[in-house]
Amino acid sequence: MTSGALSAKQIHWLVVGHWLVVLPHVQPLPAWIILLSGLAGCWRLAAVAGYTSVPSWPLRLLLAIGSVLGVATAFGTLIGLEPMVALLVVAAAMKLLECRQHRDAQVLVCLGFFIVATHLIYQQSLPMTVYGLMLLVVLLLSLVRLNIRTDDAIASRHLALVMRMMLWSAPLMVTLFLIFPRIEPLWAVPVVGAGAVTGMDDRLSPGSVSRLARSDAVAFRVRFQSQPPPRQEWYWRGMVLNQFTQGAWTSTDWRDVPPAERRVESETSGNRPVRYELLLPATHQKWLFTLPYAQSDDARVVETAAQYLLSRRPIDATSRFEISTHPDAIRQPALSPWWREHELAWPANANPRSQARINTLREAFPEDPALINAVLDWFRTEPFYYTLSPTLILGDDFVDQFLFEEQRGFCEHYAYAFAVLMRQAGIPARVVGGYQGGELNPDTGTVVVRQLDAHAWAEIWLPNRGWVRVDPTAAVAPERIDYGVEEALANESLWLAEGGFTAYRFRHIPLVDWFRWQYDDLAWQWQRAVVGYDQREQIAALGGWFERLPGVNLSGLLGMVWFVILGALFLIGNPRPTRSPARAAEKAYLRLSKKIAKHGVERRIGESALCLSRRAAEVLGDDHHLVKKLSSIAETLYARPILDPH
Amino acid sequence: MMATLRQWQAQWSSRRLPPARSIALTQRRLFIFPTRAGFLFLLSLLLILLMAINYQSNLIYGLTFWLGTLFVVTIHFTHANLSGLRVTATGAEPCFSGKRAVFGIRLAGSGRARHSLNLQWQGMPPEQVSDAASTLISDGIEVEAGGFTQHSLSYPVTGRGWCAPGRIRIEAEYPFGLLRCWSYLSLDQRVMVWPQPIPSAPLPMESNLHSQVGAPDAPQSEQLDLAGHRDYRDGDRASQIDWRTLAREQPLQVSVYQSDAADPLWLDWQTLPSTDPEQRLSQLCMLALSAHEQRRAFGLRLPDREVDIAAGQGHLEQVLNALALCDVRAGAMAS
Repeated sequence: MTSGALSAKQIHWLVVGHWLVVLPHVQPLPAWIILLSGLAGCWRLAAVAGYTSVPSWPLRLLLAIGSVLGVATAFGTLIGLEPMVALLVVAAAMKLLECRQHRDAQVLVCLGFFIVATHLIYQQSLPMTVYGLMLLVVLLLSLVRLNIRTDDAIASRHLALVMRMMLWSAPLMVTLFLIFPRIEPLWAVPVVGAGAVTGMDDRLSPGSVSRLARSDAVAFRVRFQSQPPPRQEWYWRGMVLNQFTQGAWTSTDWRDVPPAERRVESETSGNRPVRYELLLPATHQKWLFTLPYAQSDDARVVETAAQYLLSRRPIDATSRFEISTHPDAIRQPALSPWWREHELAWPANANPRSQARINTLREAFPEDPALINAVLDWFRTEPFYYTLSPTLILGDDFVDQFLFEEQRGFCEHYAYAFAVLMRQAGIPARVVGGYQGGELNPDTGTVVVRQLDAHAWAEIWLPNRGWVRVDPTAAVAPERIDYGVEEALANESLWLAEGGFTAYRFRHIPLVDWFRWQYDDLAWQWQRAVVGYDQREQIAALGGWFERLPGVNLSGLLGMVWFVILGALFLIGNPRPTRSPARAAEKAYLRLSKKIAKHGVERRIGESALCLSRRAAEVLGDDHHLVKKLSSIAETLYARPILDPH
Repeated sequence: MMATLRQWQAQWSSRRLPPARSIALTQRRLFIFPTRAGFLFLLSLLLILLMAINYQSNLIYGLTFWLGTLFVVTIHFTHANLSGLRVTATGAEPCFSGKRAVFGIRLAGSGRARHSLNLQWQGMPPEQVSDAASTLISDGIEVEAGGFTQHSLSYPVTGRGWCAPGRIRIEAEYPFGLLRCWSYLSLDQRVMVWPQPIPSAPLPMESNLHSQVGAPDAPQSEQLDLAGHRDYRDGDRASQIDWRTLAREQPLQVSVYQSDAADPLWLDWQTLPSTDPEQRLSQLCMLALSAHEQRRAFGLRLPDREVDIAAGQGHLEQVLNALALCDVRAGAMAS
């Protein structure tokens, strides 16, 4: 029934469904769009209840134009993923407001499927998938709601029907999922805006890492294939920031590097590398997070001159990478003049007090390692605080103000200042952004690294030793490196301020931990097998598994699934005419009458069974077994005349 | 050209779906096609697939494939909702031309519950379905598993004589409204259509009927003189029964009025002044109804047949059937 007005119950259902669909977008979308959706639903409910009427079309048009303009001003553009999602949500809200006919509702449900798909761009975690699945059921039930009597309620049998249909289609879905070719993106899609997903940014300015420490969301997972290195060595390098511009450390664009300097040699020792699997959720950025010195055979990955790994495309979906790390490699043992100049570049005249201090130290410690130790001692002995809530320092003389006045900062402040001091001392230095630490699941060897493990440290270049990691935070707050960030920040109120009521808060309670490990393992499997499904590799593995069975190949097997499911559905949908007891009796009667005919009692046309059995009894006697059978059948048939089946 | 095509289509479909009194909806009788919502759904799927490709997201791929295969499964479920349903014509009451004839339709679920079925005459708006309690059904018929439901579908009739209605379209979009499954049923059913009664001009037999026709509002029992009672016979009207006899525990008695037997009345085709034969039949129909209303015995003379003088409901129906089936060309030849 495609036509006809919607009933009150149907509209209730649509409004609640709309709210549920919009709910996960509370985070990436501006609050007013969510508010608009809520209000549109309320208005529609009030209109159904008779308190008010549906807004007239000029008002609706005005609202629609207003919201589109609102989206355009809120994002500065209409191109991009967030504006697109915002427009979708606005469109759904407007459609909800004017929803009167069945076809309006159908458009609304289709928009709903669309919005559910956009959730999955932002969030690919197990809970979000379960929620998405629930939304799917709600949207399908809305469709059922439109196709049953208006006064009927959605009952458990409708839910059961939807479930049954989803179960029937699940195997078909799985086969398509396995074999559907994963083609390259057809065009460059708008990327996810920086604020939408919690994670590392491509600029390191004071405050950019401490923002992350408020969230216990999973940044990535790593599974070591052998004994993991000690926890103190878990410095997951993301981006290397070796250029100081406008008060922030940024990465050098490879296009600014002269072609001759783009290739940088590193020396690996003969030791076996540490191998691990990196499972990176959608960051919508390009960095991989790896231990130095990392290499990957993956064609999607490139190694940069600064020895970090980049994905060729932004990581828009959970991806899996095989990484091998050489912990004792010497990175860039020879620094070319161009690189030396680049890694020493520093705006002259800025931060005069630190320049003066470093000049004094330089006179006392002419050797580079001694100078570095002196600077770290300075950090260690003076009252520097490691805190999540430093005072905001603005201006070009950040280092001076931080080192000599405020002395309160998070890791990025120390890394920032330390790298500046090193460059002022004439030692090539750069800042590295990434994560430090993580939580090892003792059952599976998986390390879960969370956003709160975000960290920044420095690397300096020493002759013959190449780039060496120096973590100034270790001098200020050594427990940060040894035990993780929670030890260092246990008393801070901002820590985990965005985490909410999560299991991570209750770690160290054995039962909670056990559940956390179990869930982590499930999440790993989920992320690896489904979200990070890599067709090339896994179809090969699957195919190899099935080909061990004789006479089976994968495509045949998957085709068989379709054949069996659709065949079963066809047979269930088109049952053979059932044999009623009466029809069975008729057949038995016709068979029996043929036997009796051999004894000379021919069945006459139109004769009833009772009649025939009487005649047979006269000829053959009452006790003849055929006569007995015949009379019992005749009773069943109530003496109806039987016609031949044709 | 179009007419030929339509004729060919009608022939083809009546060959494919020959008329019968009771039809089970088998697979060869059922058609299925996406609705507009279904095409919208498929378009959305295509766009979601593009999203999956461009964002390389396995979960969005999964969503697309699940919705897509769900659509395939829906084909079967929508089809199964109608497949095996038995539709039986349960006959129609005769009616006057220009009114709506009511046809009885019975739907039997045959072992499976059926949901949200729609019945309508092919090419007519779907508004005249009512259930056994003659309440109009506005949104979908439900048939329980193993049970059956009785419905009446009204069909506007014109002309007179036997009228076979058009084909019935039965359809359902359950469960999702994405696909529509339907069938055309040429049920072997017909209805007797009586001529439309129209008042006649002044007639030769006016004097006979005047007293009754002239004062139709007056209570009839006062106009007629009670002649006596006789024993009840099958076919007598309940209003004629003298219930007091029942109270006296006597055999049931029927009141007999004087005018009945005394003044036999012939309704004659030839005596009507009107020249249009159909109009004459309509006028005769009106006269017959009036005569019956006054419980008078009457007979009918038509060009091709004659109904002898009698009275009662059965007689009236016989007369009306004769009027309905009258071959007026025979009359034209006779006069």
